[in-house]
Amino acid sequence: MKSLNPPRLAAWLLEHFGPEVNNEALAGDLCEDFRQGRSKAWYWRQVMAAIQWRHHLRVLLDSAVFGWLLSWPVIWGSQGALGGATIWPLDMVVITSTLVAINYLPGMLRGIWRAFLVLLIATLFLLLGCYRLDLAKHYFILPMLLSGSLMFKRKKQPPPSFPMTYRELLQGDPNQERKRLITSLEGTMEQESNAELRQAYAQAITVLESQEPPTAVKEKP
Amino acid sequence: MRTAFGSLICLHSLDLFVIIEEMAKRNNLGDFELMVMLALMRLDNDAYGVPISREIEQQCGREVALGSVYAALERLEEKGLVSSDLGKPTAERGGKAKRYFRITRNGLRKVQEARKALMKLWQGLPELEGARP
Repeated sequence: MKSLNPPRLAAWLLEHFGPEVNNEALAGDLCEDFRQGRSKAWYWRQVMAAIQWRHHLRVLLDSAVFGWLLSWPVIWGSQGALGGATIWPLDMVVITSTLVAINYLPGMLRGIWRAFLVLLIATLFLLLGCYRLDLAKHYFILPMLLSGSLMFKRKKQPPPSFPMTYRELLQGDPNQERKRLITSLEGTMEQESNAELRQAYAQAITVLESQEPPTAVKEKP
Repeated sequence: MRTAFGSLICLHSLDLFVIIEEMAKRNNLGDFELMVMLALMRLDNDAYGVPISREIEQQCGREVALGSVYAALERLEEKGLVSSDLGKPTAERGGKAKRYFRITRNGLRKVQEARKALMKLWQGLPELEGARP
């Protein structure tokens, strides 16, 4: 019997590596279509097409370039970027991996898992310090950066359709009202038989559509 | 020195991505964008991803990636040719909400302009009127 739920790994990949905007709607559409009889292969194909490979390749390239620059002994002298003994190829791999982890991990994990990972990193680093103090000194900055990003970096939220201030966010989106008004006017205009009235409706809609979305609401001192 | 130059080239090559992203923001409608807009119009404006992709599949006879449909809709929304509203989450969609799209008047105008331009280009072509080139 076919499962009602789409493949877990594919759904996870879509959630974390898919498009930021409309990710939820896309995941819902794929789920709906899958439950209506599409195959797992189809679901995987759709997920692979939705993943933003160019963006992720760019993150990887950025990390590799910065990893390479930071670990370059000629720039930083024989001490390497991080101080201590120079272990150049290993440095590049470790720094690049840390930068990639800083980019992705905070967005993938929830609060409790972040706290657990920070504790795990601290414990592993203390253990490393007990056995290989030179390595612990050499890579000191990396677990600090990773823990910092896990504690303070949050997953980027998709932008609202129009720029909104905090007050607008709390009071509701005024642009929704504008959109509803336009929809209602368009409906009335379609039913209207009088040409003059239709023209008046069309003008009102044009004015509403051309209006700038509300910007910052000035706070009273 | 050679490696420093190499790193500069690497950093510079990243600008390529910016150029590609900017190219996508052009004003005129692309082939797929036009198809998405026409599908939206055929579906009476209140449509979401699944019916839009099915309409394109049925009319054009090719499988469409839902991700591409949403990417096109996102670009169209940025250009102000399409607007969207979030629906309510439903159990059949795994608790995810639908996003309904509708074409704006500006979008309708753009489609009409594209149609006129294509009609002008098609007129008087001997290959399309049965004659051999």
